[in-house]
Amino acid sequence: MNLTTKEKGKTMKLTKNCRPTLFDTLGIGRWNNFDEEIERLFNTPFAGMTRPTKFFGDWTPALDLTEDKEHFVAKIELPGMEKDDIEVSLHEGVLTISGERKAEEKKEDEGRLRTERVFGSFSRSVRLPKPVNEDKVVANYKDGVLTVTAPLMDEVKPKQIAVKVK
Amino acid sequence: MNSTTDKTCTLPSDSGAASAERELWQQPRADLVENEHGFQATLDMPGVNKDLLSVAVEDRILTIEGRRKTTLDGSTLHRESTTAGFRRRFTLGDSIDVNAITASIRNGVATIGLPKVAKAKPRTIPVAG
Repeated sequence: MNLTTKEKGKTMKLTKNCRPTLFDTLGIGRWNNFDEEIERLFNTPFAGMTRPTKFFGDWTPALDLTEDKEHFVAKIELPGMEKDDIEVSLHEGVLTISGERKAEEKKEDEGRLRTERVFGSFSRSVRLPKPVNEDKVVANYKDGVLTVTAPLMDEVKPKQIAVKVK
Repeated sequence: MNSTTDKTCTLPSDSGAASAERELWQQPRADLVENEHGFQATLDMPGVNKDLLSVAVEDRILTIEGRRKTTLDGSTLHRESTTAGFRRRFTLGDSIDVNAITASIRNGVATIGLPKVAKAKPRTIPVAG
C-alpha cells in the first residue's frame, strides 16, 4: 500500500508492509468474526480432541478416552495435584477437566539446578459422542491420574437380541 | 550431578512380536534443587506408585524407573498418553553419599533425596582468641 503526499516541490512516499499475520496463516483472515471461527473449530469431528498448546491454560495434560459396553472412561495425567484443585464438569455432553497445579514454594537456601516440570492452570474438554447419565458420573484421582467414568444411557448401550429358532 | 545418559525411546515400526522384547522408555520431567545438605530430584511419573517405582545405584549411576499399566481397557477413541514407562539416569558426583539416598512417591511424583557426604557440606570454623 503506498501513500504519497506532496509538499512544496517534494514527494514523500509512505509504504506499508503487509506481511502475513497470524490470522492469515490460520486461514481465518483478520476480518472474520472471531466467535464464528471458534464455533467452527469446535464443530468439526473430533476437533475438541486436539491438544491446544497454551490456549486454555499454562500446560496441556495428556487425555485418553475409551469406551466399553457400559461407560465412557476419560483418563488424564495430572501428577502432583491435590484433588481439591481439580474440577470436573459435564455440560450438554461436553466433559471438562480443569484446575491448577500449584508450584512448590522456593526455599530460601535452595538453588534450582534444573526445572523441567510444568505448573499452572490447565483445561481439557472433550465431547462425549453418546449421551451419558450425568448424575452417575464419577471421578477418581489416584497416583497422579484422574479417571472419569461416565455410564452410558440405557438406550444407547449395545443390546443383545436373543435369536429364536422356530 | 551431571548429565543424563538415557536417550528418549523410539516407537517400534515392526509388528508386535519384536516390540514385545524391547521395553519402551520415556524420560520423565525432573526438577533438581540443591542446598547445603544435599540434592533433591523431583520427577513427574503419573500412574506410578510405590510398587511400580524402582530406584537403584550402580557405579555412581542412579537409575529411576517407573513402570505403569500402558494398555487401555475397552476400545480407544482417543489416546494421548504414551505406551512407555518412565526412566531417567543421573551420574552422581563424588559429593553424594550413595548409602543415604532416599526415595518416595506420592500422587505420581517421585522425590529422591541425595544427601552430601559430610566433608562436602560447608563447615564454619570457629575463630579462637
